[in-house]
Amino acid sequence: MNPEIVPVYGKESIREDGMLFVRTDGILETMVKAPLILAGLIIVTVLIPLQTSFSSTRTLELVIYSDGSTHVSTQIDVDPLEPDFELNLFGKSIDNFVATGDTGFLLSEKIIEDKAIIDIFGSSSIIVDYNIDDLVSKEGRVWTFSFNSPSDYTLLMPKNSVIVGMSGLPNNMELVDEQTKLGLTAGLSEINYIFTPINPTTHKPTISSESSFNYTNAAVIGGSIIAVVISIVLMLKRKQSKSLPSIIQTESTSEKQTETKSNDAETIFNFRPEMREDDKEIVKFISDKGGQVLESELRKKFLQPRTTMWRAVKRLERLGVIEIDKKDLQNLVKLKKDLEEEK
Amino acid sequence: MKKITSFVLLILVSSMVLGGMTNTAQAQTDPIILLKIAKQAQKQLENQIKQNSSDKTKQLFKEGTQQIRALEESLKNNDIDSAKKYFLSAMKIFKEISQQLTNNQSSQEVATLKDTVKDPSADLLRMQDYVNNLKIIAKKYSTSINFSEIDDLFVTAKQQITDKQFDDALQTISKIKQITDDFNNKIRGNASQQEQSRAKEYAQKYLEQLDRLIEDVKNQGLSEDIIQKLVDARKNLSATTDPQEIIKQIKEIKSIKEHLKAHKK
Repeated sequence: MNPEIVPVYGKESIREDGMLFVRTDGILETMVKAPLILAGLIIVTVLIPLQTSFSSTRTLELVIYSDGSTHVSTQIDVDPLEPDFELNLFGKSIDNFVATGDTGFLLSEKIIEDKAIIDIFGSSSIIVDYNIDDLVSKEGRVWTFSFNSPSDYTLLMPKNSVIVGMSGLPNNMELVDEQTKLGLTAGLSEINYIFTPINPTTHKPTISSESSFNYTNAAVIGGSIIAVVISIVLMLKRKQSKSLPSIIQTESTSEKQTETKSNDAETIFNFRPEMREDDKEIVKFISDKGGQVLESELRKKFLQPRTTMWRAVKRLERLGVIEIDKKDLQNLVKLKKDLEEEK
Repeated sequence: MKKITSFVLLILVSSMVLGGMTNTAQAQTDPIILLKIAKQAQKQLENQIKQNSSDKTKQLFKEGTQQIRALEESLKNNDIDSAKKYFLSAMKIFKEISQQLTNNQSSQEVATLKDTVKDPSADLLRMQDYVNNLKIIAKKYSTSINFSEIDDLFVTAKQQITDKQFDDALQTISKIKQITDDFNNKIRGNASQQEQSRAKEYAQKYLEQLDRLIEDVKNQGLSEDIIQKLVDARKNLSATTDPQEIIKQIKEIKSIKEHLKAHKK
């Protein structure tokens, strides 16, 4: 055994006054770290209660029906140690209330005025759905949605409605099946909206994104088959026309020229009888607008999302009915004037 | 080494804070949305303002249009704060115009919502959403509920609405409501059986906690009265099987616990 005293913080730390300096250095190092840890802990302790106590509502989704009643769907984190949970409802006129636990099972509830007491028995998260008539009022033609939300939420506006007043700022907006879906922040917000008169021509082409998606492959395959058939027919026709007498040739040329200049919708429909009804509406609209429109105008007219309208336009392009040009960085959709030549 | 650890800790904490800030930033308003909403409103009102609309309304519309131009300009200059201000201002004006246009109409009435609507489409849609919800729950309980009849009724009601036979549609919807109520009762009957077993399971866990508490209280030498209350509450809770009674007993135990806390202080 050779007992040797080794200084805790190394030889560099040993100065004239020995252990005292060594310990002081250690303390200094600890002190440098301590404020950092402390600051970190303070921030964490400030943030964690905020997250847990204020974000108990995990999601909140509202859907306004056309008669002003509103469907509320919310997912809430609850304390699994509690036997029941008291939920503040957004009004008193509650209908079709359903609460399910985190395993998807139905939970019993008791509704007393604007409160629902839900028996959760160990669930840590609940999903609540109900309808309410208290959030929308109507004066004349103007409907007003007024809501003081405890958390951020989404709001799906009714079909054919247009927002004409807003007291707050939305943080998101998207078009879902011809309905405007807004993302709104917590707090009081008031939204005024009116219904637009239903224009039958506008609503005929119900090009839902789903149906377009399903038909895309079919359209591509169908389009290519049609293109092949057309080119064969064209080749045959050209061969035939070469063998015809010159008089007939000049007559047919003059006919061709008159037809070529035409961008009438009916001519196009005759040329492409297989065209979808909704596509026909688009062609008719372009024709009414003098044979060319911006793609954005089509979206506005038919209230279609960008991708859905783009698919429709590409479909028409494949059919040889339209051509797409660029104008001021926008897509200009033009009816083709040389239909017969292609045919 | 310790400095490195401190540095890593600092980075971790900063990333937590910055992460939170990023989330907040993501939730901020996309300014293009503001322009879209305002322009939709402008277009709609422009279609509604007629030659015989009042000068005040027309003047307001001009002001609203100016606000939209200012909004567009701010967006071009990337001045988001001004854009928000112009948006709110434009929407306030458009709301006023809408109200004025409404007031000018002959039928100035503030009616209850459902009275004003003859078309029961919303009623039908509401029921459809509710029934869809019940279908999911019924599947969870593996109930033998047959939804085919109600599905057929939905198809019938939709057709009646399309054909503008609103009275017939209302009758069909009334049938749907009756059937839905029956289904709801059946599902709730199934649910209550399972709820009872969940409640018992929950009570059992609670009893285990309570046993530990009683042991602690005894070790701490606290008042015999409190110990006795806890023991009695335990006995009552273990004896009950009814979910509502379980809730009642647990609430009583909680109040004894509160009393215990106050006693310790």
